[in-house]
Amino acid sequence: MGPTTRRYLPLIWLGMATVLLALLPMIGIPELWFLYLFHFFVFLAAANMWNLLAGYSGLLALCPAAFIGLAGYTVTIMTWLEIPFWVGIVAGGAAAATFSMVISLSVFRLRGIYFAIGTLVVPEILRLVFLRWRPVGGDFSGGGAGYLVKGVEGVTREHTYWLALAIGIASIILIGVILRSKFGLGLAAIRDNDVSAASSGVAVFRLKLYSFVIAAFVMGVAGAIFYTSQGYIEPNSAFEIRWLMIVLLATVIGGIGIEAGPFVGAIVVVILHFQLARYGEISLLIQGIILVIIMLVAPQGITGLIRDLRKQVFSAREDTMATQQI
Amino acid sequence: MMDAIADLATPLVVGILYGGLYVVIALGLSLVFGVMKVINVAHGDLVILGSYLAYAVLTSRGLDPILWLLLGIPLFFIMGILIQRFLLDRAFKISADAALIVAFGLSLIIQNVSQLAWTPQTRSLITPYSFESFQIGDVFVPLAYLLDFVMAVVVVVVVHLFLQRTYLGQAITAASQNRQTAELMGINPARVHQVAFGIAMALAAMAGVFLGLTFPFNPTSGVQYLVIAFGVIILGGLGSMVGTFLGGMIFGLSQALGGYVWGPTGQLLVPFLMVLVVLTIRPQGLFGR
Amino acid sequence: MPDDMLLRVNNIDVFYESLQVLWDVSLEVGSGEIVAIAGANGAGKTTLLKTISGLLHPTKGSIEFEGRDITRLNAYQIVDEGISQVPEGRGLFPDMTVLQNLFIGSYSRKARAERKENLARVYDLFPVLEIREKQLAKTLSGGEQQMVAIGRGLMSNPKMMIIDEMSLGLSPLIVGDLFRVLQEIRERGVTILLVEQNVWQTLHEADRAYVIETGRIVLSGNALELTEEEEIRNAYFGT
Repeated sequence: MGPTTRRYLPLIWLGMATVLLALLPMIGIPELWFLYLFHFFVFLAAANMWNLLAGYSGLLALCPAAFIGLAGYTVTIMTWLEIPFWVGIVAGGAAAATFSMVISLSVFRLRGIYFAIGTLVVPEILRLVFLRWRPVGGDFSGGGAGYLVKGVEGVTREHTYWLALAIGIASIILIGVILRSKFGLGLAAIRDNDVSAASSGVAVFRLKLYSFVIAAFVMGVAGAIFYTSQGYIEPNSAFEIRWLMIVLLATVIGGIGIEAGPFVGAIVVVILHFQLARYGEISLLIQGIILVIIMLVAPQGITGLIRDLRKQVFSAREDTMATQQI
Repeated sequence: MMDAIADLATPLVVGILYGGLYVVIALGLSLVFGVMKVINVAHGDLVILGSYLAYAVLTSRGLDPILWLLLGIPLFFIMGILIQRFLLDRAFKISADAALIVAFGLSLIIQNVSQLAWTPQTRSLITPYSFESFQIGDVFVPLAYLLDFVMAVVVVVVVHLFLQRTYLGQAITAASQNRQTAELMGINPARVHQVAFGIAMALAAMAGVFLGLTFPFNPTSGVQYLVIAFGVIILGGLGSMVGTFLGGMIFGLSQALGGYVWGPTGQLLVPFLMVLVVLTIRPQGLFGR
Repeated sequence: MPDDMLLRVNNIDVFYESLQVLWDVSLEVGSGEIVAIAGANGAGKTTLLKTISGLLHPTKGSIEFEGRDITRLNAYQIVDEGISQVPEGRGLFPDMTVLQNLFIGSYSRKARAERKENLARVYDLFPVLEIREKQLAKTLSGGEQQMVAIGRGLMSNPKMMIIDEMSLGLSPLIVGDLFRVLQEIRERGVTILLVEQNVWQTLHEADRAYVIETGRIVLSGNALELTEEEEIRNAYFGT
C-alpha cells in the first residue's frame, strides 16, 4: 500500500461507511435504528462544532441552543411562508450564522468566563422573545407559543435520515479539513496561548470569529433538520439548556480538543438519551453527575484515555526492547 | 402626566427595594470570583436550593423561613466548604474550563434534584406576614421587598467589616488581589478558597430565603438569577461593595421598569439585555479595578 | 551537628512545567550575611528564589534552614520558619492601603502578637510610610512601593529576608538609599539574600555573591573580589 493511499485511508473508510449508512433505509431496518441514527448524526454535527469552539478555539460558548433553536424557527417560519423546507434548512443555517456574527460584536469583547456567561444569556433572551413574538400565523391552537412545521407531510423518515446523515458526515469532513489547514494551525496556536499567538501574527479575533460563524451555521443546519423531522417547535424546548448539555456531554465524554472525541461521545450520549428517556427527570440528573465525574476523573475523555493507554503500552514495549538489546 | 409619574413611582421604589436581593446574590458570586477567578455557574441554583429547603421546612414543620436561616446558614457554609474542597478545587487543578464545566454539571444536578423532590411546579414561601404591606408616600410596598433591602444593607455592612477588620477577611482580600504573594505572606490558599466559598454559600442561603418570600420560584429559576447577579458584578465593578450595592439596585430597577412597560416577559428580558449591554460596554464596571 | 550556615541549598534540580530550569544548584547563606545572586534575565534567579520560598519544589536535592529540612514545605508554611520574601515587582496588594499591606506581613500567628512593635520598627526605617499609611498601595511611587514591600517583609520578624529584583525600575539614587536600609536591617540581625540583575551595585553592597548562568552556578565568592574577575567584567560590565 503506497504512502498516498495510506494517507487517504481514513477518508476511504469514511466514504464507504457513508455509502453503507445511506443504503440502510433501503434494506429495511427497524424503526428504532432510524431514531437512534437520526439523533446520532444531529448530535454528532452539533458536538463536532462545539468541539471546534471549546476544544480548538478556546471559546467556551454556552449558546448552542441559540443557533439550533433559531434555525429551527427559521425553517418553521419559512414553511409557513410556503417556502420549501430544504431551502428553509439552509436558510436556518444562514440565520444562525448571521446571528452569531451579530452577537459576536458583543460577546467577543469578553474573555473566558465573561464570554461564557454572555453566551449563556443569549438562548435565554431568544426564549423570552419567542414566547411573546409570533412572527407568522395566528395563535397556536392550544394558545401556547409553539409552531407546527407546515408542508412536511411528504417528508418521510428516510428523507430526514439522509439529511441528518449528510450534515453529520459533513461535520466530520469539515473538522478534518479545518484542522489540517492553516486555519487549524492558527487555532492550535490560539488554544495554547492567546497572547503569544497574537504576537506571532495570528489573527486571533478573526480566526475565532470564523470558528464561531462556521459552528453556528452547521449547528443551525443540524437544528433545522431536527425540527423538520420533529414537526413542531416551541420556545421553551428549542432554547433549552438540554442542547448545551448534549454537546457538552458528548464532547467531554469523547474527549475535548480531540478530533475523534465528539464521534465517540455522541455514540454514548445517544444511547444515554434513549436509555434514560423513560426515567424522565432523572435523566438530566444522571447526565449531570456523569459530566462532573468524567470531568474530574477523566478530563481527557474516552479517546484521551485510549491515547494515554496506548502511550503506556508503547513505552512499555520500548523498555522491554531496550533491555533485550542489552 | 402627573398620573404617569405617579404610576412610575411604584416600580421605581419597588425595584430599588427588591434590588437588595440581587445585591446579596451578586456578593456571593463576587466573593468566589475575586478569590478563585472562577464564576460558580451553579450559584443561582444554590440560591434556589436555599429557597426549596426553606420551603420544605416551612411546609413540613411550619418553621418560619427566616428562623430557618439560623440552621440554614451554617449548613450552607459547611456545604460550601465541602463543595469547594472536593469538587471545584480538583476541577480547577485540571483547568479553568474544567471548573466551569463541573460547576455547570453541579447546576444541572441541583436543578434536577429539586425537580424530583419538589416537582417543576412553581412555589413560594408563604408566611403569616407574606401579605403585609406598608406605605411609602403613595406607593404600597409588600413587606418582603423592604426586608430584601434591609437584608442587603445588613449583609453588605457585615461582609465589609469582615473583609476589612478580620485577619481572615484581609487574607481573602489579599488573595483576590495577588494570589501568589498572599501565599508568601503565610496565607493558606486552600483555606482561603474554602472559606470564601463557604461564605458565598451562606449568602446564597440567605438570598434563597428572601427570594422565596419575594418571588415565586421553580427548579429552573436559578439561571436567571445567575445571569442578573453576573450583570450586577460587572456593572458595579469587581471588588467594590458600593458598586455591587448600586448595581443590584440598578438591576432591580430595570426589572421593575421592564415589567411595568412590557409585562412579565419584560421583567426578565430587560435585565438580560442590560447584562449583554453592560458586558459589551464596560467590562471594568463603574467602580471596579 | 552545629552549623552556622542559616540557609543551605544542596544540589537542587528544578523543573518548571517539564522544562528543566536549574541544574545542580548549591548555595549557602550564613547568619548575618548579605548574599547576592547575580545573573542575567532568564538565568534562573527567580526560579531559585521561588524554590527556596516553597512556590516550586526541586526534583532532586534539598534545602535546609537552621538545620531543618524545608524542601517539601509549601509557600505559606515558610513564613513560620522565619523566612520572608519581598517578591519581584514588589507584589503589593494594589487596592489595599499601606497599613493593610504591612499588616498582612504579620499574618502568621507568631507575628500577630508582635504586630505593633514590628510596625514601629518599620516606620523607624521608613518614616515616609507612616505618612502614607492610609494611601492605597497602587498610588505610591516605585521607590515607596519597594519600601512597603521591604517593610512588609519585616513585619513577620524574619530571620532571613529574600529580596527579588529590588532595583527593577528604580533610579540608582533610590536603589542606593534602599541598599543603605538593607545594611541597617542587617545590623538589626536579619540575614539577607538578594537576587539582582543590577550586578555592579549589588556586588559592591553584598558580602558574598553567586553568579548564575542558564540555570547553573558558575562563580561564587567574596563580592568585591568577584568584581575583579575577568569573566564578570566582560559579561556584565562590558570592559
